[in-house]
Amino acid sequence: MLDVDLTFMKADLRDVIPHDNDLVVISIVTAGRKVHRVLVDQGSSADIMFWSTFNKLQLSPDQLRPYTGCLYGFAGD
Amino acid sequence: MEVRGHLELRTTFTDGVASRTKSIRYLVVNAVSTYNILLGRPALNRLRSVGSTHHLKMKLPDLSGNVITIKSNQQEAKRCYENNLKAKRGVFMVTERPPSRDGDARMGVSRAESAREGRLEPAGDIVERQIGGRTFKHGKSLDQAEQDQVAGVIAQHLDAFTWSASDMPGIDPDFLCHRLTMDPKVKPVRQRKRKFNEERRQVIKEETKKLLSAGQIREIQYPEWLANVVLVKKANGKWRMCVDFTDLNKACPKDSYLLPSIDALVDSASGCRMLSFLDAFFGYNQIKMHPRDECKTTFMTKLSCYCYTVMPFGLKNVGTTY
Repeated sequence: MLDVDLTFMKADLRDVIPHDNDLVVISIVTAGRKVHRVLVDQGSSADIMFWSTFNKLQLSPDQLRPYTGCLYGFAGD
Repeated sequence: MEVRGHLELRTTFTDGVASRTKSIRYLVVNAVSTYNILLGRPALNRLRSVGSTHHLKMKLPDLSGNVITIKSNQQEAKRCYENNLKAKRGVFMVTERPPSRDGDARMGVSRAESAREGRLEPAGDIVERQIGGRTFKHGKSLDQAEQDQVAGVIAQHLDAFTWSASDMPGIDPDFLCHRLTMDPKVKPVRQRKRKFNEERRQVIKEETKKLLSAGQIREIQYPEWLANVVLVKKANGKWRMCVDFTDLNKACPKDSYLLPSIDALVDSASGCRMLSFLDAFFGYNQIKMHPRDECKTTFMTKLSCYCYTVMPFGLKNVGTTY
């Protein structure tokens, strides 16, 4: 049931403080913990987790699989 | 950018009512950021999410056909963004680029240089130019077309600029004046007269004479409030005359209108090619006091009592009015 219409209405603006070009920063739950400061970044071609966050989530480096690609800078950051 | 590796983590998106959990593959990078995670296109597409930077929300469907609406945390977003800018400024100072005609690079270089000197300096030299018998200065780095444009605007509005002190009529009090908001229960305070030595008496005498001739103060006979003069030695050895308004300030509640922060100003100016500053000439003294409140700014000198007709320094809330 993933083909619902996603619409933004006037009502969606009600709780928004007038802003000038703010970014969308949300909170998610991953690895059993709530993670704040998650940037919704349409300019990024990959999903990025920063090393400090990785450590804070107390994940083990053993879980990391090697990555062979190359990453050039961040858009929007 | 060093990639330490990647891992898949089950990640839950919820708005408190509906939720959706999906496995997302994160690249773990060894970089410093104010963000914890950047949710890029792979995740956004797999979630079939739609984001709106206008509504500051992200919407995605859950498995039973409901819509999950995730709101952006505006305060956090602002904080992160500002911190990122600050971090970038640090980068600017390390990477010194050769000066070029490009506006951005020029900014970067002047920043790097000023950081070394500890003071901001205008970028480039200043050139004088004559218009209609008046002289004005502009930066040398403007090209000819830009120079002519600026000169044209100034020539058109020659009368709107202040060229000397006599051009300052002040602001019409009907349009703007400084009013004191006071607690009506507070009784007027007359401070005890403080004594000054001869040198200071002389300074006060000259300063009041100057203010009187400029029409910024007037003599008053039966003041309810009375304050002493305070003389402060300036860095250049001269004296600055202030009035001790502590009692008056205690009777006024603070008007907490926030001044726009410098960061926000710089932010809103980013991306513009030209930035113009308007400086109000002796801006403070152009704003008149409300006639009702003039008598409350009374201060005493050896000869008589004077009160301000324009906004004096040292009063509470004048910064807000300004």
